[in-house]
Amino acid sequence: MKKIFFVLAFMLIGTFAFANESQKTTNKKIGIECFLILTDIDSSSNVIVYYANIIIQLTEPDCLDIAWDQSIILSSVTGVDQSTLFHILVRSCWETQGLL
Amino acid sequence: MKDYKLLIFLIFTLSNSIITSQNMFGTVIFGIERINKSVPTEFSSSKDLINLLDTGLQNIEYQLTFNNTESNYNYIEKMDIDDDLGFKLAIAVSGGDGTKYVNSKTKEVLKQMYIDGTPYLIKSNLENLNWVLFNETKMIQKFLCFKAVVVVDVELKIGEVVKQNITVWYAPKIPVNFGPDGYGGLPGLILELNTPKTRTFIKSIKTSNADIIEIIKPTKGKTVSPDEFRRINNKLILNYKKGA
Repeated sequence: MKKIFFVLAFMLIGTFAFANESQKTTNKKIGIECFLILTDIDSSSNVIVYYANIIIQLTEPDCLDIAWDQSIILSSVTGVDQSTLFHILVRSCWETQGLL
Repeated sequence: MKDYKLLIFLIFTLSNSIITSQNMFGTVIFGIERINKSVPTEFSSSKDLINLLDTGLQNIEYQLTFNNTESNYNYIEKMDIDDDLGFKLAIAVSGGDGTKYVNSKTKEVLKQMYIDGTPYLIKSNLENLNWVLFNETKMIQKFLCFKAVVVVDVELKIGEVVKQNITVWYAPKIPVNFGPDGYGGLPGLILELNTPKTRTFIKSIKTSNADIIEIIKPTKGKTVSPDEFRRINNKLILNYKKGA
């Protein structure tokens, strides 16, 4: 199982290096799709979450950074757990960038 | 003959009072707002996002339904704005889109929460809430309410748990042990709930002794403890952190 995820992850990185913008967007979409499928299988599994995180960091790190900062700000003005807001902000960023 | 009539009157009065004291059903609509609506200067660059959240909060409503022993707390779906980011953030801030179920007999609390679409049932116990009761009172609508405070853990930044005071106002006149967002265990219905940053307030209330309300216990989702849920959620997010 590990091998499959490594192959998938490295295929995605490899294609980024030589891809044009349109191909990069497609690859980002594939990365997000993989991430969503994996976390949907079982988000409490250490192995699955580990590889889902690798794939999403390699393919679409921008929205993660944006959502991380935004979730800290909203958490401090509302007093709600940061993790509660993070998922919504990531998805919103992906939607805004046409990746979902 | 006179004694006979008196006996019938007494039986009727007694049975009526037993029925009314035994059955209590109700529906309460709650709204949520940020207590201090100004945007802190250090977050001025995120003013639009915070304003979006405030607009979402203005439109959001939650419904608490209860009978004598059980309650459910849910947000009221509004199809036209469900996809709006401000509304989604408002739902997250207000307690999420899953059902919060409380059983005052078994002391069971089930909070249905979603992580990226996967449902979880966070199981806890009403007795875990160590309320401190105060004599301070205030009127909320027509009900005399008493103050109570409990301390809970909140993770404002992942990995940094802080203590937060939750102040509530409960009405002993409505003798059920429920409240918004899965809070309860007090000698009366909670009509207002304040965190340091937000206020959950009553918009309307309807109680009845006859209109039977059936409370459905949520079953969809893997059952976890609050700590387990936090671990699962954080694990999913933690690697995203800048520089990780």
